[in-house]
Amino acid sequence: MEESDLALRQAAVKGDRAAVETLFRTAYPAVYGFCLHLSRDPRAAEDLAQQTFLLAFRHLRSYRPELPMKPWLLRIAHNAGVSALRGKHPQVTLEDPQVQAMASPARSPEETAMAGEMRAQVQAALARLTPELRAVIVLRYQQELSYEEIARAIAKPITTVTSRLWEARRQLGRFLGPMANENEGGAHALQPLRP
Amino acid sequence: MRCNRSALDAERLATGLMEQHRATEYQQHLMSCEECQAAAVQSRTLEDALRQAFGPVVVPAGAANRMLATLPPNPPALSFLRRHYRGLSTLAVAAVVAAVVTAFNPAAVSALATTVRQAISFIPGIGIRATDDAFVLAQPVTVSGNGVTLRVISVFADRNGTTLTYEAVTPSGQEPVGPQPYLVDDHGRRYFAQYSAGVSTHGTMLVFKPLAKRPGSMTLVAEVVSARVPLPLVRAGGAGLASAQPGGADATVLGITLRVDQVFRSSDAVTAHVSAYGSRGMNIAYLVIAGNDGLQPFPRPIYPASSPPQFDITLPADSSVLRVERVVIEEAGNGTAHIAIPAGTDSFSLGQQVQIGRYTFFLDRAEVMHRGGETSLRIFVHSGPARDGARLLSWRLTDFRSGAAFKLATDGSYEWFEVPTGAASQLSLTFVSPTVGIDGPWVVSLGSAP
Repeated sequence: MEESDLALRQAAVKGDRAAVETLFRTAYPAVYGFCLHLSRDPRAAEDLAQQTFLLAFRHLRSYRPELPMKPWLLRIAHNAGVSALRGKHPQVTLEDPQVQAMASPARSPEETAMAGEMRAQVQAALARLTPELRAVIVLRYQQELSYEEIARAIAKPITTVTSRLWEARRQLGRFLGPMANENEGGAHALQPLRP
Repeated sequence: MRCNRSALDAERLATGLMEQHRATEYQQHLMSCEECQAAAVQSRTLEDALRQAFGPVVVPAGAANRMLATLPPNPPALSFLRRHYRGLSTLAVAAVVAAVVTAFNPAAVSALATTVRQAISFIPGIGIRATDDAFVLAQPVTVSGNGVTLRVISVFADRNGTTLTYEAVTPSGQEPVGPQPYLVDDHGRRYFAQYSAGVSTHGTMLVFKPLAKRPGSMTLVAEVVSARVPLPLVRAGGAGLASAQPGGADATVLGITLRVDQVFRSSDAVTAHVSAYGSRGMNIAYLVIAGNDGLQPFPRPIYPASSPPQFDITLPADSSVLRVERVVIEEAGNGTAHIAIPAGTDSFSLGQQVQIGRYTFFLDRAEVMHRGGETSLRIFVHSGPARDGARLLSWRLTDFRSGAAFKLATDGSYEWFEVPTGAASQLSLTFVSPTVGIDGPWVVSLGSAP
């Protein structure tokens, strides 16, 4: 799989249209997901994803095929998304069906009942973060990137990743304070033996 | 009463950034500190909430096709400069080298050497850091208030971040209880420490994100002494850096070499920058030094990451040697154990031997613990014989990463560990990452004391 991916990436850099389409189609859900959580607007997310792939295509010749493509694409999406969103407010609310869908993965009814409200509150709190802070949270928890991968994606030192995540978590903790307290003693509570 | 443990510890534990040995110690602390338990609950709850906040994304139908339809037929070709970037860079470097060689004379060589020395310099309490466009503390600053004396030992500030080392003590020599100091820039923006990068016998090191505008102008706000402390900073490369002396002495025990690279002496402390070598030295997790208060661990700094491992060790001012009692290494390996829990008894013997990598340890006996409606098993252990001078101290449990508790014996090895069992009658345990201690001592000269 790795070798065939590498061959595809090498072919794409040389201009092989079929290879480009295969790679871009494979990466589209991840890039769109990042854009959706960053912009919180399905239409803006599609525009942003389109802009990302267009920019990637324009700079494809300078892409190093020995490196994975997803972090490179996320880096482009991050730069484009953060610049576009800086100073803007969210365009939709949590009532939007797309956002509801992304906040409600398939779980048991019991889990859904317990966690649904919390997820909605987290999504609402995320909307209050700056694009830079929201981006690192999405990269970490939605894209599940490591700190090193996030550093590559946002083109910043790992210390910046750490500080942005810390600041984002601090702000989220403040926004979600009442929720966390309500859950104390519940399923998420920390027992002495379970720190 | 406020606990003097940083709330950042709770964050580090929840986000998995805390080193294993510190996590073990912190978990012990949590068992007796309600304040830290509350902070840990908050951090853990947030971590859990964030992990559950994102589900599968519904991609609009046809979106990928619409995107592909907008792409031009072929990607544009690279410009001449981009195409030949590597070749041109090599030519440029060669031209500079040629110019230096052509202009070869003793003065030019001396100037070049000075530039190199200033580019790779030693910051007391921080170690070797590039000093391009950086600021350091002109002299230590001491402030007293509320019966506490706070001393800022060193600062290193550049575009990548700010590192500050300080100590705060009460007249009785105890660490005071209070919030961590923070920085304020010219515009009144506050900067809280991202994390403590390590604690030595003479100071706590805090790492901050870079100051937005002027890294050379900052004030430390220390609520523990109720003071705002302007920090006198000078550009790196000044007298403070020149005071660092080259080291060079080393000691080798069981294939691990510890070398003192540089030594910085001030009126009340000596700081040694130490590198570790040898194949086993590459995996050192921390060094153990004999101090006035017993054995002091010096963890391998997480910032800056370095290879070979480098440590900055601060000792009393009259020290003429560095004496490392033990190095602690994390090795590869894993092992398993299966335990049948007999019904109707709260204590039973095990007598099992577990092989983990090259090492063995023994599960001696177990006690069933009932606490707060939860049942857990406390298993008493002891380590097997040393291998190549290394003795097994600890390991990690893969299945109970956040649900296990450990008790350390005085020699640093595990005395017992405790895992939740619920109503289970069988328990399977997987142990990984054996952490071993190699006892020295490594005794390395620091040069003559003043």
